[in-house]
Amino acid sequence: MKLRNTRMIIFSCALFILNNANALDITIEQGVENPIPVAIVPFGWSQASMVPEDLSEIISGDLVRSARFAAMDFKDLPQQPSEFQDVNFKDWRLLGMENLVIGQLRETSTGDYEVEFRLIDVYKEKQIAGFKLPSTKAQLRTTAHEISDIIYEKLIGVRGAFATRIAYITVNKQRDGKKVYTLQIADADGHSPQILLESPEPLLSPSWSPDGKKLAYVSFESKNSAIFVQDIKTGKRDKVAANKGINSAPAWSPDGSRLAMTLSKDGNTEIYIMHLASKSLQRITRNKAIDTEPNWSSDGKKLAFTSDRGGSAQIYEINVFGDGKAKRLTFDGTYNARPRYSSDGNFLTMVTGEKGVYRIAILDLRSGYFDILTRARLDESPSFAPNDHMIIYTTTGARGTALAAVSVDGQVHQRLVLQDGEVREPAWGPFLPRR
Amino acid sequence: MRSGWFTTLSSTVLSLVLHLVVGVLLIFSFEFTPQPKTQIRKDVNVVQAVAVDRKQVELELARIRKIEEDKHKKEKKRLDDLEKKAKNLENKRKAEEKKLAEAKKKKEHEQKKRKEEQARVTKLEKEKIELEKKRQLEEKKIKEAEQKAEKLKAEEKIRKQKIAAEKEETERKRREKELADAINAEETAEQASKDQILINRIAASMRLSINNKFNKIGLPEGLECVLRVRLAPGGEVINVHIAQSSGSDIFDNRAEKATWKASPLPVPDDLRIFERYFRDNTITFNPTN
Repeated sequence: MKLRNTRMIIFSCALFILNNANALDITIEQGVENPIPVAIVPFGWSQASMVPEDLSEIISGDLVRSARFAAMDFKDLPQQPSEFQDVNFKDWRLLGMENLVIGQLRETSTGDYEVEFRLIDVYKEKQIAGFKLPSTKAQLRTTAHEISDIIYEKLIGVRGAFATRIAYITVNKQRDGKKVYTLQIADADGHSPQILLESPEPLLSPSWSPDGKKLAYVSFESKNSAIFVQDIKTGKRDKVAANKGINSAPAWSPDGSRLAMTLSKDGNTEIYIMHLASKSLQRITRNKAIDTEPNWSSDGKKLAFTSDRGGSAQIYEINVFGDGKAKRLTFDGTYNARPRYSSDGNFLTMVTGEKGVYRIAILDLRSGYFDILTRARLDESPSFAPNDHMIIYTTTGARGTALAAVSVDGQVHQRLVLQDGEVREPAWGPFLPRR
Repeated sequence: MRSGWFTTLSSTVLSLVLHLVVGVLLIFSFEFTPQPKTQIRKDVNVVQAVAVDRKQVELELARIRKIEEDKHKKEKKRLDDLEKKAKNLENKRKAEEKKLAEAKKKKEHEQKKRKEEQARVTKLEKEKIELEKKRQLEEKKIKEAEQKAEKLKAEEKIRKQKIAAEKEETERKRREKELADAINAEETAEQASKDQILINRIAASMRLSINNKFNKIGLPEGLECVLRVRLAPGGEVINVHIAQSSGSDIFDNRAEKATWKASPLPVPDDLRIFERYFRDNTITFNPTN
């Protein structure tokens, strides 16, 4: 039987070769880059009451924001199936629709929710993915983001970063003219903001612990700068560095055991590494110039930082366990600062300045190719999404400072509208553990 | 053993009889003696009488003794003879017995021999039957082989004839074609170049159609996959087969989707050209960013 199959295969191969003796060989070398068409059908809801959350809208929003998807308008949907067998594939194909997401939201007997969804390949008439996710009323938005992550991964090949959070600082002027600073976290789409700390004095430089449970930041609450570590869930704070002079720019090591930071306790502004368990310090730079804004490579072996040792601010790289010699990474532009590594270690994003205009740039560490991604006048504080596909940053215009995002190829720009006021220093948090 | 026992018994009996006879004789002689005594008492002349009597007695005694001895000798001889005879008889019996045993043994031996002979004959007969069977089978085989060979030979002959005929036919056709080709050479060349232009133009159009549908957004660089695409006349895609995967399901899927979405593809109206060049297509996707 097996032999016969093999023979059949050989035979059909031979047949194919014969058939193709005259056939054309066509090579597609270019292709196009268009958003992938996807239709998110409103999820079924059996209850008579109002739908607690419009999951399809959240998913559509996520996918469209990534700029890699084009979601079909609700009014253009030819049908609204919530079961596979109800899908009329011909109709969808006729509309050029490639992927379909259908699902159902159900209330469980305990008052919680259960979300069932299917991602369907319209051309192959096959299910690509199907999951049943338990949820609660408070978690429904997160569940929708998780569905977006799965769709993204199945169609792009990289895990989506929708079910992640961002941390940022807001500054609001009160009626009495006094400023109020807050440290906040929110979903990656800007929803569900949560204030972790409020202070009349400046708050700066939030940095996520790699497990996403803590934030390190700088607070001027005691008039001088100090570095704190705060547990997000409990609110418990730990003042880890409050030296004479500057205490700034904390950056968590990938293993979570150390914080890189800038201190001037020894006279000059230098980069140190603090071992969190013992609070002991290891000095990394030794240079008359200003060395600041350290960031860890994902392998934990290197730090990129800003230094003006060459006359103007540029990005340097130094081995954490090396001889203390720094290597200059940027040579394009007169000002490059605040580096952030991509998690795959291939890219570095930073602020690049030229004649008073500051923009977000990306440096390909493999090829040395340098690209400016944004076009505004004052763009700052870039931070990679954990899947490296987007960079979040702040942009300052006539209406103040807001959050914006750009795809790493510079093709897609978008503004994330949060609440009123000024938003500073966004930090994109790590992936949540998969469930 | 038995004969020994028998001999002992018979000699015992014989001696017993002998003693008995001697005893009787002795008693007889004692009774005989007193008779003259009684007679003497009656006689007057006793001394004379005694002397005469003694001599007579002695004579008588001697005579009796002689008779006795003779008798004894005779008896002994007789006994000896008897014993001899018995011995002879015993020997004879033994000889007879031996002879009998030998005869029995011989008979048994013969019987065994006969049986063996019988078995041998039976076996031989069986073998003979087997051999006969074998021979018949061999014969049958040979016969079949001969028949087969004959059949093959006949077939071969037919085949050769056929080949020869075909060859002749091919040759004829070739000559005809050569002739036709020669005649139409100019025309054909012109047609071929026309065809080639058409094919190239349509292939380029086909490539463009698929290229415009090949969405590489979000895909990593450096992947390549090869599809075999079968078209229906009119250009409709009827089958897409991944001949060589890129290793990424997503990349392969995008390539397949591009092909399906580009359907119907531009194809020539001329069915001859379609069948020859456009029915089955190999499409390689290796985008460079």
